[in-house]
Amino acid sequence: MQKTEWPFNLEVGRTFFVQSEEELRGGGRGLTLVVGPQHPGSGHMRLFVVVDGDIIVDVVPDPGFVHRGVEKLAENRPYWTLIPLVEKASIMDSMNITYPLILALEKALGLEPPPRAKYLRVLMAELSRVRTHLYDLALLGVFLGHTTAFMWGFALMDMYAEVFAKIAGARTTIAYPVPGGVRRDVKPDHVEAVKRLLEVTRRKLKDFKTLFLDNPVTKARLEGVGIVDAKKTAELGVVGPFARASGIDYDVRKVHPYDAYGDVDFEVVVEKDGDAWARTLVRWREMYESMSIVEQVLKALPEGDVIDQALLFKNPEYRREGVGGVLGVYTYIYPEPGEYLAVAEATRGATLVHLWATGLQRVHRMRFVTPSWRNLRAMVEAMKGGRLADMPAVYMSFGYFPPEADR
Amino acid sequence: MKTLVSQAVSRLARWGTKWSLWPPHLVTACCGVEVGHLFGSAYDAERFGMLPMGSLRQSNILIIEGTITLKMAKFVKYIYEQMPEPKYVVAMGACAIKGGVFYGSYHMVPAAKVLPVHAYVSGCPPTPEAVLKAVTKVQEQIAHAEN
Ligand code: SF4
Repeated sequence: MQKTEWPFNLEVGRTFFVQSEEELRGGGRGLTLVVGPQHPGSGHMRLFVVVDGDIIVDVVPDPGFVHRGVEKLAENRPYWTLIPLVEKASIMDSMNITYPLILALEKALGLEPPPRAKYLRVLMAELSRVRTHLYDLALLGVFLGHTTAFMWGFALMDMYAEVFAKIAGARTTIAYPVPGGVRRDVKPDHVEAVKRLLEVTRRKLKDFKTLFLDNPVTKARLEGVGIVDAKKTAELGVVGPFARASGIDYDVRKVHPYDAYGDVDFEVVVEKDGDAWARTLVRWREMYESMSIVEQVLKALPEGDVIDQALLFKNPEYRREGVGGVLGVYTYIYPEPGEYLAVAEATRGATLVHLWATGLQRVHRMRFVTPSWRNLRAMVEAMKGGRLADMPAVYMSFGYFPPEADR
Repeated sequence: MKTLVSQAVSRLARWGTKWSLWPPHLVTACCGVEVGHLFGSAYDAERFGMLPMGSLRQSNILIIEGTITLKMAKFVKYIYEQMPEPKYVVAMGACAIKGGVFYGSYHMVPAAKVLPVHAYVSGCPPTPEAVLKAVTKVQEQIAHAEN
């Protein structure tokens, strides 16, 4: 199969047809459809889909519509401004996607967050996880033509946005962690808000389940569609809930526990089937796991500062200026030269940040590997051999988020 | 008499356009998350006559959701040109204005270089309220347009 390209150079009338029969596998009669970048679902990527009748013979993805050069931009700015830059890869999952960067920077700067900050980070990370799963499920609803699921998902997400705004000061892009701690402490009324939020979520998820997951149409659309077995999953390097849906028991939070994940008790959700339904169920059950982690964190939340003592000593004005006063200290501490690697489990899978520091405040290079990019290959493989009508279901069952993949 | 009739018709047409601004589903970047909230039940943009539309042939307002990369710019232009007149553009997010956090990136263009923009919304991402405010500004522009 030749690489399918945008067929601009073909004469009018034959634009979307594959020209030579040899290009096709399958029955030999094929049609190349161009799906995207504007399509009724979500996502800004293009797929060249070769169909034979109704069956998808081949899919060539064309990502890069949201490539904004995060890695290149990171070379030109001081390390403390990388947090908002990296976070834009996946804005509703902001806490989790910045996690590896923060962990790597902490290694480079030799900082260690106090216990309270560790717990607060886990709190926000898990709330973020629930929120992102809700986002993906809501969009899965849209892809299946189930608009009510979209409304319910976003109504629930909106409460998360409000609580984020309360705790961190922004609805979506929270940039909550900083090297050596977190940006803001939580107050008793924030804790109350989180508790209420969990209670409402648990109550509403029951109805959401009746409405969306228990709906026979949803199940019929997702079951047995887009199967990727465990072996193939491992070969293609799939990460996160999508690998766990194929029976691969891997979660960075369990394998290399960072921050307070060692202290909390949770189960890694695994399903066996590897189809779109299993991927949906894994994410559904993970929401409950995340909520239980949040409850444990709230129970065990230690008292104390939220910023490393080493930073506090450098700014004696801290008590007067609050945490904001400490942040200026970054301008006169420098990362140790060397390479630093950190992995964290973002909602859609393991995220990796590799920093090369040279002793300057600008890092020499930042490598940023995001989960959606790793799952793209499997998504394309899962579509092949299925029906064209199942393509949207497979697409969104992978929770593919183009800004995250393209960086 | 003739002018009176044509004035009345144009007023009616403007009134109709004002309350039926339908955006096509073109997500250009991460501001799309807040656009999702905008059409969700909490903000409910439908009370302003906005209904997200799958097909661009039946839509008349284009919401640029953040960054336009060079690769996307071509398609944004195609989509804009395929939309029927009258059409309006709301550019959302710091990225669409001048670049935001990605200012200086090698792969993006400000929205104004690609399309004529009727209203900008600042923020990264802008809150849904801000987008709704921009939409009401566009509605005012429509209502006060000549003919
Ligand atoms: S303005 Fe912010 S949220 Fe919007 S596209 Fe740009 S980076 Fe993303």
